[in-house]
Amino acid sequence: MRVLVVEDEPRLTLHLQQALEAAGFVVDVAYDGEEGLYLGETEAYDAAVLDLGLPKLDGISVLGRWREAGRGLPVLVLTARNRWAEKSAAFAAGADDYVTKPFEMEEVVTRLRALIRRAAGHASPEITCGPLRLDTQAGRAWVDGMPLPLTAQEFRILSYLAHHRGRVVGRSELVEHVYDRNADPESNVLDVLVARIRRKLKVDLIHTLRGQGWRLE
Amino acid sequence: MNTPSLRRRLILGAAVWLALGLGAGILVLGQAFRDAVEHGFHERLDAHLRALIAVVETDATGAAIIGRPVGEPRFEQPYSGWYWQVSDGVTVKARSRSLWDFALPTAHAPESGAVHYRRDTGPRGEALEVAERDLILPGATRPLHVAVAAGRAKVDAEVQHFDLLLVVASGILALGLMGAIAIQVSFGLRPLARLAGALESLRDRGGRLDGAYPAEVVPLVQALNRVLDHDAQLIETARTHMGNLAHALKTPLAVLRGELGTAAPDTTILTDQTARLAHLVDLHLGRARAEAVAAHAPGQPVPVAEVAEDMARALRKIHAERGLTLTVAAAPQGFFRGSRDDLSELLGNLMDNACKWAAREVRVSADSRTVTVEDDGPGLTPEQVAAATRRGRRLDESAPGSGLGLAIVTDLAAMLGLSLEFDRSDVLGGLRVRLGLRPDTLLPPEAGETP
Repeated sequence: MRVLVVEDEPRLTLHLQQALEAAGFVVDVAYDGEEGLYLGETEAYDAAVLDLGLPKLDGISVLGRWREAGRGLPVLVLTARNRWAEKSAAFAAGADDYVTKPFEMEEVVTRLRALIRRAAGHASPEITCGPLRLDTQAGRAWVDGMPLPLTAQEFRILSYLAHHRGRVVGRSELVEHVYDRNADPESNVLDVLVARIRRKLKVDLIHTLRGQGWRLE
Repeated sequence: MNTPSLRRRLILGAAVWLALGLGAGILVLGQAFRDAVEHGFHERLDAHLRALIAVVETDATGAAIIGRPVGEPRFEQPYSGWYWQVSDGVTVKARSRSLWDFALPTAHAPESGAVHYRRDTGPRGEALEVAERDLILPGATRPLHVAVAAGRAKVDAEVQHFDLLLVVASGILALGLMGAIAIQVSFGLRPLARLAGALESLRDRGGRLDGAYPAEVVPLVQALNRVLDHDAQLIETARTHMGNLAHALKTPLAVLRGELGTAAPDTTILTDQTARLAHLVDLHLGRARAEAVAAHAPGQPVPVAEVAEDMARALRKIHAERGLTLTVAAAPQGFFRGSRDDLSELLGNLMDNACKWAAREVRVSADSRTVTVEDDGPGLTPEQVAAATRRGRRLDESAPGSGLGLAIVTDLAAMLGLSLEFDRSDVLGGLRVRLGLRPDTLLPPEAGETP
């Protein structure tokens, strides 16, 4: 899953990035409102963490412009202000969740995972597909009760397919959501990784559709 | 947005009226002079015309005998500008020497008996004023036209001269008056400038406006002083709260410092103390805000239904994981006399607390006097209510009734003089909180209770 973090305080941004990457996310970072707006409009993210007090363009405006541009990605808003009037304004502008500073990194990770999962239409933290069981909060997967030993990148791919199970996920879409902006993977890297996941799954759950992509079901 | 300057408005207004007045004066006076001059001119022409008529006689055959009128030597000087002429409409019977061989054109049939004045051109091409009339002599078949003419040049020049004098004099008068008005306006507006100066100097010193001001400005000065007093009070309150906060933060900071100075700092202590710091900041900030805001006069009444819906929208997203049902049933007549911000804070905290502890359902209802928030959670025992509504909260967020939300509501409600009651919801079985919308609203008694 790929996440955009828009926050101007550099140390806080670094901590967020580290915590999110440790949790298995691919993270892009923007340090001001204009850059955040641009990235959110042009790149594909599964969720965004947006600080409200940003230089150049404030968070509420960025959020509003994203929604106007049709970007429906779930947004977790960060701010020091915890008056209810201000929280309500953030939600009215299109936020999906709200965390006040100071906060625990764990809270951000948990809430983001829940937001992404709900946005993909899964009401429960667990996604199942036949014998496959994926715990989105714990970041682990099992087949027939046996834990799957997956690398971070493999888990990311499997998680994305599971979130969008039953639907064809194209190659470029998958690349966009499991690699960051600066990565430029070789054209067949994904094929290699999917093949490896298949081997570990042992069950035939990932279907390849020639020229279109993959589907988990 | 600023409206045009007072000074400019007053001076411009005066200038307009002055221009209108002087303009009208110039027109009227100029016209009056012109009329007087013309009238005098016509009188002179009329006199000469009568002298001319006096010397026109008929002889025994009925032919006209025309003598020479006396009284104006210029009639004898060629092209002098003064002329007389007697004609019968076809030929000139007699004319003045000054006219030489020129013939004054006659007008078409002037009324018999009346003197007719008109302008014409003389032998030199000069502008003339002609006075003429018909004369019917006894025995004559056709009337005689008699005319006397004089050059207009001098008359016209007199009028022009006067007009110029009028304009110049008016101009000078106007300038003088405008100068006087400008001085008057400056003088009149001075108290305002003084007031502005006094306010400016207050910025450095602080305090109130004193000094004497004219009656019209006094209400403004009084209102400003009320605002200044209020601000001073707010600043004092803020200072007090800042002082309290700074004081309260010192202990956890000291503990932190101490722990960080050791060889192996205990992270539990670090976590605890930073949490304590955060909590204290929230608590004191919240109190300071509540007090500052409660001091403001209420503005527009705030519709409760709208604010409750805003909070509900936010809370449905915040607690989306729980799958709760959050309903808002607020009568449109419910209005809160206070700031929207305060009502948001009260309702937001109450509804958030309800959502945290509810099993499945939270209900918010409001009528014109109360807002009720109830949930189907565990509710609060009387001891827990007492603990939750006491000022100065514990840190523990895991036990019901603790945490800052209810403390903030209690503090804010107390500041605003609103009643707050906690009991058990008979519909949902959990906590029910009832908040009065107006200060000193007595909550309605329960059905079956004696009031």
